[in-house]
Amino acid sequence: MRIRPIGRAAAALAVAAGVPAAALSGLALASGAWAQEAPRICVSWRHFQEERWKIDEAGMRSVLDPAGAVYVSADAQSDPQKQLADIEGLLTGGCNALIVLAQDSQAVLPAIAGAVAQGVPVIAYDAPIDTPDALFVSFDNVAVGRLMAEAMVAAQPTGNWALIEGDAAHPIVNIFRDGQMQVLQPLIDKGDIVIVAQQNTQNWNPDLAQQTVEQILTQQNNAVDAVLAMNDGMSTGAAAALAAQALLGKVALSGQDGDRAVLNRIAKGEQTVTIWKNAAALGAAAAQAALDLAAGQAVAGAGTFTTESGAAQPALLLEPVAITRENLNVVVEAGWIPKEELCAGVSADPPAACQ
Amino acid sequence: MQVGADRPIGREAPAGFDTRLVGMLAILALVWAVLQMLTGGTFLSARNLYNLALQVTVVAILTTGMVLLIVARQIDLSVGSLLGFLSVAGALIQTELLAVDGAQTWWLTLLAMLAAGALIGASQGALVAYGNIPSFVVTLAGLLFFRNAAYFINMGETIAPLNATFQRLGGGLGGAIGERWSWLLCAAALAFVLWRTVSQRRQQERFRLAARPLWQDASLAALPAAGIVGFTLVMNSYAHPVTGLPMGIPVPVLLLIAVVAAMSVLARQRVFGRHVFAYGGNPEAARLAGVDARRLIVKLFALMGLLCGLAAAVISARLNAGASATGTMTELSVIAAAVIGGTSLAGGVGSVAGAVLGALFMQSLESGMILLGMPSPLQKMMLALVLVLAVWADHRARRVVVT
Repeated sequence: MRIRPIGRAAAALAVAAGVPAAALSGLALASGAWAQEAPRICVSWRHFQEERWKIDEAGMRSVLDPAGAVYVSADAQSDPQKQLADIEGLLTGGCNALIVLAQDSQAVLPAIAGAVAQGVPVIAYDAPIDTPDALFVSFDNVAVGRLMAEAMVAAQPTGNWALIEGDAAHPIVNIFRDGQMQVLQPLIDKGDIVIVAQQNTQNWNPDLAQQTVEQILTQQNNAVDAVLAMNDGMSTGAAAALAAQALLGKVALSGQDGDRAVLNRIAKGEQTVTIWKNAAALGAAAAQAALDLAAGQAVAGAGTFTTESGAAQPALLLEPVAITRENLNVVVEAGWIPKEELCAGVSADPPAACQ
Repeated sequence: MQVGADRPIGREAPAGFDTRLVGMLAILALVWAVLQMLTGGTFLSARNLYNLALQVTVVAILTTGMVLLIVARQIDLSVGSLLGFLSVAGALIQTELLAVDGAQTWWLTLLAMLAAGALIGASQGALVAYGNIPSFVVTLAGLLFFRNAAYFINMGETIAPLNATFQRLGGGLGGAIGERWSWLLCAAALAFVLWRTVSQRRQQERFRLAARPLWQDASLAALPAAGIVGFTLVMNSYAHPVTGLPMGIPVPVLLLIAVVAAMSVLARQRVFGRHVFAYGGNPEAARLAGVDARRLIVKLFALMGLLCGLAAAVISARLNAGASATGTMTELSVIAAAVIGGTSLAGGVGSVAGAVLGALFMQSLESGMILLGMPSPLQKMMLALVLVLAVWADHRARRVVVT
């Protein structure tokens, strides 16, 4: 059942208020009953009020709780200064490993240095921290672009493609594009795919993306076979523009984020793919890595990531999942979307997940 | 004082020959001609003009309210955020409170969005008028508050699809009135232009004013008449992508026309509008003349909020989704349109028609540059330069008239 938004907002408030309190009491309890064999895993969140991080936390606890580890957390509430104090506080309470979702990849460095000096292993969670001393656990954003392009090529291997990219001021756009081009460039060189338009979208704004796609369709006289949109918000704008030309479902369309409205479009056959990052899996991977590091073991599957300043950092980069019509069951089974919501309005030719 | 020096277009007699407006139309025509050449004939195609009409609607609706606010020496920076907030709220009302496929859903939602917009606007106005907080501060807070509220009420999740009838408010495949109704409306509009010209001539005779020669009145009426027929022709020559039948005037564009007409009358022919211009021209004198400035400001912000509700209905219906990022930075486009349309940020001067033309001018450039495949950062840089250039040229032109 879908939680009503008002209820959900209230729940979010309750959780936001409850988390620091719970963290404090956890701290008090744990320092009283300090057991050598129960590792303490400390987590510094940057802004726990955002719904997303509750999913990550649940993923972490799904590993930590069965392992008998103690979970301690603090919320910086988007304040880089508070995050420094939070980490110092956590370290004072005692940590066997520290997971940091950094508000600011540079400003957090003094606290990281403090942890390293105390011999506490550090994990940079989801957002990079510019130091070779931390293990970076995140999704592979190059893979986001690559998987997106692969799914689109599988649906539409030739023809005229329009590229709807994110805000030109965000460097991550280049990373997504690099991934896309690993797949597309050979096909462009062969002449199978022609890029007929390539536009950035300020603020990733869905209504601007809609205008852009309207103009591209006008310019090309509807001779567009695929719209490669970088996220789900822009794919919603593109879908509206395609619908106005009765092209929705006939033109391949991509997105990213696993928005529930978009998953519903995929079930209806109106969109080709969305790239879904399972936050619970990321949390679980970070928690497992933290346990390994706390026990002095190497982290399995770690590679190397080059930070912004060029330092080589150990990294555990998870592959996101491309969700298409064929594997919609994955998001239902993960509890990301209820089946009724996924399949709402699906009538003719339902995908396997809706049967 | 600063009002008397130049001739504010908003205060002229209703049928006056507005040189400034005609000048803007000439520049717009020039820009369209250039874009038509550069795009190899695509820009002035029926389809692109149809797009353009739809794309300009939201900013144009909002700018009619922004003009009056700026004339009254106020500003509203919260309109873009309100678009996002009301879009998400409207989508939640349709999907959570009402049945998304219900027959009454569309108008109940629209009504709720208009009411919520007006209420929020009135509250902001009350903070300005009775709390004595500058409108820049109040609405800057509104900008931050409502953008985040848009996120918070549904935790950033996009809500789609929306009610099928509601979607018609946004244009799209089912959102135009068809050929016959378009021509009927066209005929009605032509009849109005004719009636107005005739009744003005009668009035001039009655009061023994120096009547204009007949040819002058005829040509004054011919310009809007040609515009009306041309517009209807273009909207009817865009064919439905599936049925091939003429689309006709899109519903949101009809809403825009109604808003522009109502707001022009309000600004020029109603006491409320006279008070707005009087207060903007000289607040002290207006107060001494008995204008209740506080109530005026609350009403103005409530009106702006109401327009936000309407614009949010159009933009979410067009997108077929309630998304929290909707309308990001739209406040800047709205203010830019008003300024290009000749609104003075010092207050007292501005016109609804000018601001709508300003919006059309900016949107023409933006849509044209996408057709040309220009990179988006370059597009924004161009728009910035055009904004400054337009205001500079406007000031130059006015100075020439005065001296």
